[in-house]
Amino acid sequence: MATTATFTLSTPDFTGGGSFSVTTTLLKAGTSTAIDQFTGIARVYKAAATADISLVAASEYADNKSHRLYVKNTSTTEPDTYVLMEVGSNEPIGRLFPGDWMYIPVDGTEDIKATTSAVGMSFEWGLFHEG
Amino acid sequence: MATTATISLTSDITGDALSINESATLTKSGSNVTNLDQFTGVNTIYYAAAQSAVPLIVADSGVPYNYADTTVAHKVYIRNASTSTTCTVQVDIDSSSNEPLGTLHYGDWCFFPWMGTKDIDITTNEVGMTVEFAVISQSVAS
Repeated sequence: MATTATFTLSTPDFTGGGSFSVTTTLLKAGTSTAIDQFTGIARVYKAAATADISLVAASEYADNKSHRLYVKNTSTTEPDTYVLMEVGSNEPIGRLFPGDWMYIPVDGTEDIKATTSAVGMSFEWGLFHEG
Repeated sequence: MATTATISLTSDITGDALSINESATLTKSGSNVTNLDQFTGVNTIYYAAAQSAVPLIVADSGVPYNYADTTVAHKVYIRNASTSTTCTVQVDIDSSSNEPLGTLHYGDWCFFPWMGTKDIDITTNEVGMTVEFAVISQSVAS
């Protein structure tokens, strides 16, 4: 059983047009044991702009582990609309505009929330975790 | 020509194997055609000693970047490039509150949007660790 995450960045307009790629196997914290739990990929649709949608409730996961969160803004709304991602006490991580995605580690100590900025927005998310 | 970021996730945890391949074109806030216009390149930093909440990306340093903030579509990449399974890099947002985003274990990477309002700090747990990072950003807020 294994889960891998590969990141590829292509920057043809910068620094000579380089591209690079890195791959990691998702392991439990401090071990060589593969992550073995996954929420699946969920899709959320919000008819109205909605604040503080809970994606990761820290209380449901073990602390200081090696959970990983994937989120993609799948909206086809105007380009100035976004999904604001926040951690803990509404500390802003950043804005996912339509088509943007993010992949971050989650320790299980802080909540992760999403806020949609406009009507008719959707996003997808999934958490690989240790329980 | 445009900068693109692609993630490929494969997993056999669930009965139906997962295979995600998503690519995003990195454009400025409020536009789906105007590309981000600044790039730090991929930096590699070696820390001889363990670090505690050391600034990795500074929101308003002015050297060499004075990041525009709020209505921006900056993107951040960070990787724990250390070679020991016990090496960790904790990523925090905000040099004052040090809100923990999460911990990158050996070989882990992350990629996320950044508003340019708060510093991004890291804490490393061992001597002789290597961290990679890059910022793709817009020079002026939209």
